[in-house]
This record gives sequence, C-alpha cells and structure tokens, in this order.
Amino acid sequence: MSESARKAIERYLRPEETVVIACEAKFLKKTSGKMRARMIALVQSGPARKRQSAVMTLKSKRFSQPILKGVYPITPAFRCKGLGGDKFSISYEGVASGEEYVFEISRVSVKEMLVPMMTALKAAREAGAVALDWLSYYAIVDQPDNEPELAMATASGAGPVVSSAAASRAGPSAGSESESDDEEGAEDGGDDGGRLLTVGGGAGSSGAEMNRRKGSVVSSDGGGDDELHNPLIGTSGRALSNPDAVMDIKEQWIQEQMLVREDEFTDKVPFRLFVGTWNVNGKKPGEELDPWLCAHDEPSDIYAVGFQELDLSAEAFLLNNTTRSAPWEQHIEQALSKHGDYVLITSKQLVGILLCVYVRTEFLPYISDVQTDVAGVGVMGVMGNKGGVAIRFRFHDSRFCFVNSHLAARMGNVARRNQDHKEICRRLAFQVGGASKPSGAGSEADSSARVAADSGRAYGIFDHDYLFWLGDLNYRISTLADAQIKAHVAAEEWDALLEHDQLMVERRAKRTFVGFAEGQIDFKPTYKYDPGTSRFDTSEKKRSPAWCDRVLWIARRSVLNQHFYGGHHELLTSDHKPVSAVFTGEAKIVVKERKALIYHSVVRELDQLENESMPDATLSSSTFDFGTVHFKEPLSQSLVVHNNGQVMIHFSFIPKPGDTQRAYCKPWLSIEPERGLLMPGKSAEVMLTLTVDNEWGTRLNLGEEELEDILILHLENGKDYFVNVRGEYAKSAFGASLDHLCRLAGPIAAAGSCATPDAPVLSVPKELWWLADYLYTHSTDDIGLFQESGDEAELATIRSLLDSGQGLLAYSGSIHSVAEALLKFLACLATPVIPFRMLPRAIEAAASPQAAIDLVGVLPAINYNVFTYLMAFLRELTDLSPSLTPHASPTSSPRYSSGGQTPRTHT
Amino acid sequence: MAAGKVFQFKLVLLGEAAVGKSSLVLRFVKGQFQEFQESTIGAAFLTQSVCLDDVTVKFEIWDTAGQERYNSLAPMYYRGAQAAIVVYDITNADTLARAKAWVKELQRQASPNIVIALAGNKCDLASKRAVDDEEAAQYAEDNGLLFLETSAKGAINVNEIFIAIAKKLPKNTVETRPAKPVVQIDEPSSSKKKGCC
Repeated sequence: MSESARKAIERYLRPEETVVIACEAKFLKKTSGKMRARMIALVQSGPARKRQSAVMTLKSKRFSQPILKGVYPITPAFRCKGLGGDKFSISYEGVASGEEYVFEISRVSVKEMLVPMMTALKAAREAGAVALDWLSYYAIVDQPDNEPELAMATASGAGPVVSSAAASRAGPSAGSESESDDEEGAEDGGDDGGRLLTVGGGAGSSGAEMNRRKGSVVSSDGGGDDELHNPLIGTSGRALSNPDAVMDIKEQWIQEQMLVREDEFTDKVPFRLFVGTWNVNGKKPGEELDPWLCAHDEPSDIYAVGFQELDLSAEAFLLNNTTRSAPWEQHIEQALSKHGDYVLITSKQLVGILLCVYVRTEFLPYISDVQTDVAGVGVMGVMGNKGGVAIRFRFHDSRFCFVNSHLAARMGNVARRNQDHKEICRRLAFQVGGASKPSGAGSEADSSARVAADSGRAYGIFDHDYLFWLGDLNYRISTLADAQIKAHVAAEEWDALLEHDQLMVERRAKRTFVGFAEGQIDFKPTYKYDPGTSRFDTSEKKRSPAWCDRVLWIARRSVLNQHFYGGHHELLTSDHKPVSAVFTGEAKIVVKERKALIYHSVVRELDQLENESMPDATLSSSTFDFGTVHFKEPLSQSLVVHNNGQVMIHFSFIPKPGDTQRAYCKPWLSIEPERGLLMPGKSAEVMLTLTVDNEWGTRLNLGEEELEDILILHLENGKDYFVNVRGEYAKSAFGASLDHLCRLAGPIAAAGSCATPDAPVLSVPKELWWLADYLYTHSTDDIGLFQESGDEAELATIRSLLDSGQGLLAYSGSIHSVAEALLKFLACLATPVIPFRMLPRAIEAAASPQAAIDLVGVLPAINYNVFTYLMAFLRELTDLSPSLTPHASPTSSPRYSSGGQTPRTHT
Repeated sequence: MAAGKVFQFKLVLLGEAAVGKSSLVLRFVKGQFQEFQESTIGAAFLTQSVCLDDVTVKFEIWDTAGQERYNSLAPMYYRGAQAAIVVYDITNADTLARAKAWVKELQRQASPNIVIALAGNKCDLASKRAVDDEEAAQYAEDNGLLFLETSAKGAINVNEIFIAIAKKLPKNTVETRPAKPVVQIDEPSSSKKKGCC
C-alpha cells in the first residue's frame, strides 16, 4: 500500500480500532432444499489493536448456537495487501429449514468506511500503486431500514469496477471452516459486536428462496466524530452475471411485498380451534373423553388432538407398528359427535405419538394441501420413542401447522429437551405442492433421503400462518423440593411455581421455543398422578408435579386469541391429565382479482425502483464542433459528465461497430480520462483533444477522410450516450504530399477533392517557391538564418498566407519564422523529398559523389525538381550569407533565380 | 392468477427519428406523455413488467436514437434482443419505408427467434394519415410481425403492444437467454450484384 493511501486510512481509523470496511453476504436456497450461505468481510485494524482476531458466525435467528463459526486473525497495522485489509469469509451449505439466518461479526467495530475508503483509493491511485479489485466487495449501504430497496439497488446497481477481478473472486476459499478455531470460546461480552446482516425465508413465503441483502451498522464503540454520511451506493454487480439469480431476487422481493400487503387482498373468516394433548401412559381408552374434548360450551370448528405414549410395547417401539390409534380415534369421534358433524382430516403417528385433526364436515371443502411429516429423536437420535409428528394443511387461504411432540424425559435433561425441540424443528419439512408423503418410521435416513431426492422445494413448520406446538414437552419444575412444590400446588400459587418451570426459564433465556407464545398457566400441574386417581405420584420414584403437557403457538400476520388453557383432571386413565387450549382466529380468503391488482402494483413498484436506481447522467453537450482545425494545432474541448442519478456511476467510452483495434475513437482524437467513477451529484470533466498529424493531414487534404466521429459514453449497467465530434479541417500545404501540391495551381485551402488535375501543373510546389523566394530576397549576410527559432503566431500567419494562395508579399514578420516554416514544410511532407524507400541508398551514397549523383538521377520527377531546387536555393543563400557556410566558395555556385533551373519534364 | 415466476427479456425499439419511440417507452413505463420529447442521442435503458395470467414478463427496454447517422450503432442494441418494436409514424410514409428496412435488417442480423412488432404510431392524428393501416397490416402479416397502430399521446394500444409481445415470447428458462448474434457471412443482395457486373 502506498504511503498516501495508508495516511488516508489512518485518518479515519483510531490506532486501537478494527473496522469492517466492506462486507458482502449471499444466501442461496437451492431447489434441493439445501441452502448455501457465504459472507466475505474485509477488516482493517489500527496499529495499537491488541486482540487480533475477529469472529464471524452464521446463526439461525431462532437458535442461539451458531451453525458455523470462524475465528480469524487480524493483521495489525496495515500489514495487508492492497487497500483491502484482511479478507475472510465463511461459507455454509446445509439443509434449509425456512428459518431466518444471521451473519454476525464480533470483536470488531462495524463502521461505514465508504467515504474514507474512497479517499484512500483516490490517494492510492494518485500514487499509482494499488489494485482496484477490493471495490467489487463494496456492499455496504447506509440505510438498513430500507432493505427491499437496497436489494434492488444491488440487483441493478453499478457494476464492479474490475469485473474480471470480481469474477475470479466469486468462488472464494471454501476452506475457511478449516481456519475455524473455537479455542477462543464464546464471544467476550464487552466486545464491540455488530450485527451485520439478517436474511431469511420469512414466514409463509414458500417461494422466498433466495435472498441477498445488505445492511450496515454504525460504530458501536461511540466514535462519534467518525460518523460519516455516505451516499447510497449501488453494490457489486456480481449477481448480474447470473440472470437467474437476479430474477430469483426479484421474485423474492415481490413475494415479500405481497405478504406485507396481504390484508389488502384477503377477506377474513372467523374460526374456533381446539388443541388438546394427553400422555396416556400406554393405556387403552376406557373413559369417555367428553370432559376434555367437550368441556367448552361452544364447539370448535377444528380439533387438533395429540397423544403421547399411546403404545409402550417393544413392538411399537422397534417396528413403529401399532394398532392402538384406531380405538382412540373412535373415542374422539364419539365425543365430538355430541358437538356436531366432524370429519378426520388426517392423523399421523410415530410410535406412541399420535396427532389427529378433525374439522367440521361443512368446512371440509375449504381444507387443502394436507401434508404430514414425522421426526424421531429418541434412542440413537432417530427412534420414535421420542420425537414429533406434524400435520399441515390450508384452511381457506391460511396455512396451519400442528406439531405433537414428546421430548426427552427426566428432570435434568433440559438441554436435551431443547435439543430435541430444535431437531424436530429442523427435520420436519413439507414439499411445495407435494402430496402427503408416505408414512414411514420417520428416521433420519428417511428424512435426509427425502431432502436429497425430492426435486420440489422444501418448507418448514415455520412457513405457516399458524403453528401450534402441543405435547408432552417434559419440562419440569426444578430447584424446588417436592414438598415445596406440593405446598404451592395446594395453595394454587402458580406463579411461585412457574418461576421454576424449566420451559419458562429456557424460553426467557431464548434457549428453546424462541418466537413461540404460550397462554397464562393457572391450572394444576398435569403430571404425575397415580393412574386411576387424581392423587400425585406415590410410587417409589415419587416424581414431583410438573406442567409437562403444554400448548404453544406462533401466529404470523394472523389474528389469534386464546380463550382457554387448562387441564382436565376428571380423566383418570393416565399418569398425566389431558390439557386443552381453545383459540379463535381469522382465516384468510384470498380475493384473486384484488391480489392480481396488488401483484401488478408491486411489480410496477419494483420496476419504478429499478428505473430510479439506474445509473443516470447528463452530458454538457452531445455535439462538439471544433470549427476550423489546423494541421498540428491541437484543439481541446471539455465534456462535463454529471451524475444526476441516485447511484454511483462508472462511465467509460466504448468501441462501436466498425471501430478497429478496440479503439473507441478515431486516431485524431484523444480522450482523457476515458473512464471514471462518479458519486451521485458529482461531475467529471473529460477533455476531448483533436490533433491532425502528418498521416491524417494527407488524408484530410485529399478528402479521403473527414473530421467526424461518434463516441459512445457508456454507463455500466445503464444507458449509452452518443457524443458527436466534428471539425472542419483547413487543408494545408503543411502535411500535404509534393505530388498533390504540384497538381494545384490555386490555393490548397480552396481545392476540392475532385478538382485536382490528373497531372502535375507545377514543377515545384508554389508554397516552396514562396518560402524560398522570401528568404532569398530578405536575407542579409549577418542574419544567422536557420539559427533562430520562429514565432508561433507568425508561423500560423505564414501558413495561412501560403494555404490561401496569397504568397508572402504581405508578410511583415520575422524572417526566422519564414525559415522555420520552410523547415516545417519539408518536415511535414507526407513523403520526404528523399522518399523513405530510398533512404538506405541515400545513406550509402554519402560515401561517394558519383553514387550521390546517381541517386539524385533516379528520384521521382517532382522530388528531383524539389531537390535540385532546394540545392540551388541553398547555394544562392550561402553566396549571400557566408556566415551560414564559412567554407563555401561563393564563385562556384550559379546565382539562384526562380525558374533558373530547367525542370525535368514529367513522363 | 399472477404467479411468482418472472421472465426477463431484452427489447429494442427501432425506427426513424421522431416517430415516437421514446414517447412509447415513456407512456409504457411511466404513463406519461411529453409534447416536446427530447431527441434521444444515445440508447436509453429502462425496465418495465407486464403481468400475464401465469407469469410476469419483465422487459429490459433499449430505446435507440433514430437519426440516420446513428444507424450503424443499432446492432449494439438489437444484438441479443429477444424482442423488437419497429416504429413508424402513420402521418409520414417515408418512416414506414425506414421501418421496413429495420425489419429486414433484424431478420437478417438479429437473433433468429426475435419477436418483432410493428407499431404505427401517432394514430391519434387520423386527419394527417399517410399510411394505410391495411397496407401496413398486410406487410406485417406477410413478414410474421405483430402489428398495432398506437398513440403514445392518446395512450392507445401502448400497453397492448407490449402485452402482445410478452404473450408471444417463449417462457422457458433456456430460451430466455439472449441468443448469440447471427453473423451473416455473405449478403444475398450484394452477391447478386456481383453476378451481373
């Protein structure tokens, strides 16, 4: 890194600080149900930074434990490549469960560094030393609240500065996991951490499969004076290289907007729902279930009834083969028949865990998309003695999901229960548009095979409007002695007990059931009783009372109220008492016409956002007329490019069809700079310089070419501007060919391209004669001709007099300018007097007078004339001015006179 | 019902200067009309979607400069385009001739499956009509073009022409990729001339 670039960064970075200067994260949910996530960050740290590591983690928002974690050493004090700082990345590939994921970087302060980095870049470029490829990582935008718009800015924003570099970096080392080092343990509490990005398959967005968002977070360590305002910047265009990915992002955005505006195109239908759970302890049904299922005066529309420990036999356990469900279903139906006509939507069983959902028969037509899944987390992590079963369906257009689970038992197994819950969440999945899967053992092998084999996209239990979780969750009341618990129960001091309820404690600590709600518990613990009684456990084990049996829920963008939550102690069969919860809510009915209209307006909004975030510029002019252009007199005009859009622009001149050798303009034009970056609101000046040299002078004199060109100023990922450049070339004897000049009797400036006669009409160009004649007639012997340089303005006058055919009679300037004009005239000839092809021979000829005479003899006619004429002129001149050639013999030369020589005739 | 799938296509507008290419785009994208639309010197780029029954078609629209001196630059913009709207002005018969030349060029040089629509713009100016609509329709039919008379000013048939194109475009991901430009090695017309000289 150059010194100036370093200084530019140092100005913004305190010595003890580490900052993220850029980051980019990408989430991709694949059709196989897997997801891929990658984050790249660039970190720069000051020289006095002590703790030289950064931690980057990928977490599910729901669970605090990171899925992936990397600890990265940070190089202190700018010992880094280019401007990029230390770069590190993590990438992850695994099963996507429709949750929200968060990338975090901790132990560094996250700070907007755009402006200082731009400054640094500028300084570095001035120093001419730094690669630009870090810019392609520019992913930081300063409006985290504005995410959808940002997502679009990303999709259509300015491209990478060095696109090839970006492409080559597009597949960063996946080996970052191997760099992970967990030795450093958990993140230190006092550290400056910054949440950078959140992304996820939000709730019901079954189509929401790919996301890519950016956000940035201000400094968290109070560096107030470092606060900077930054322009909104379009980011890496890497996504653009993959059109499918871009379209996925756009579809995702549209889906999200549709969810936000769901109310506008849905009607609501009220429903009443009963959710019940009972651990039946392997008992067969005996008692009537009315006290549980029919305890509520008002019948519900939907009944979701879950059992655990339906069958404790070894056969059921090992083969997941039980016939015990049928009698229970009969019992439920018997009870429900007292309330009305109900029909079983479906039931799902995993060993002893059974879930049945009934709906009022008249509502059956509104039930669709019924699917089930099971996940065993018992013995070996796969067996069905513990686990969960799920039933999901659509009621009108609201998506319902019910999970009945039996989690790990025993007082001390809190972490295990948390883990079971997490596993069940992760494993239960459904297929988009998929029919019910065949029921199986629900083993892990089953699940993973399914995920891999199914081409349909998977979605999880959280992708529903309503998710209910019921079951024997097995959370106990800990840290209280049995006697204390029983005393509180006797006194109905529920709050005192709930303080020690493990589920409450774990939920408060966000270690389990994150995001779920539960109603107030004001009923007697439902565990553990002596079967057949309402007496707490008197067996040897003496299990303390607990609220093992619970109902929790998540309602997403949907109305839900709980009206009852309690146990039903009248039922005596089991060592648990059944629990029920009654809810009312509103099912959505999508009104297709309204949805189509809103969809249309969302799509339009996206178009508008995209159009507004497209690079836009104004040019000071689209036509540059240089007027009259003289030979070898450069003319410049400035083109001002102003960024009047909302994103950074990257402009460049690009070749057009017919441009050769990838040039973007004709050779007589030069453009400086030919490309550039412009922040919104800024302007840049581009100099267009037109210069006609020998080659082009000849072609323009002959009318073969004209001074006209169209430039294309291209904005990366945006529009093109055409810039017309034209000039009128003042035809001139300077830069012409001897042949051409000898054919022109009149002034060259007035010569049309077709007026040139076929044969030469002059033996030497009249312009040469005028120059030589002037020098001859005005020279004096002490003037030092050809030894002083001429005056620019006078040279221009001379050229103008010659080209217009006026000769030098009216010239009143210095003779030295005329002498220089003669030299320039000769120097600028399209072909020299001694043509290029004869130069080697001319050099050889210098050795012998005869060879020189022979050479002159074979010169082309006009060149011979000019050569002879010039020699004669020089001889005359030396006669006149001995100072020019002190050793010349004045008498040996014939006097020069115009036309004194006999010109050779042209053949 | 509008489903989630979005297809993106590149569309280019071609035609003589001042026939109303930019006005058609402005009407389609922003629903606006400007009596004195600035002449396009360059190639403007905008995006706009059309919702069909089951899919959304997103057009990436390139509006090109119509002045003759920029004709040689047009291939830059129709290269890789899956759709084109060739515009003429119904009050000016010369512009139809120019439109036909564009159609010919597109059929020779552009992607082989390009969907071309012919738009007879300024159809609000019926009193100044110089091009018979049936003649244009017949020409369009003979050449396999979509055809509509449009008015950017009167908002007539503007959305319709884009919708017609959207419906005609193939909707599967393989074909939505820009086709490679076809390089025409020998031009039939010039080779004929060589034969008789």
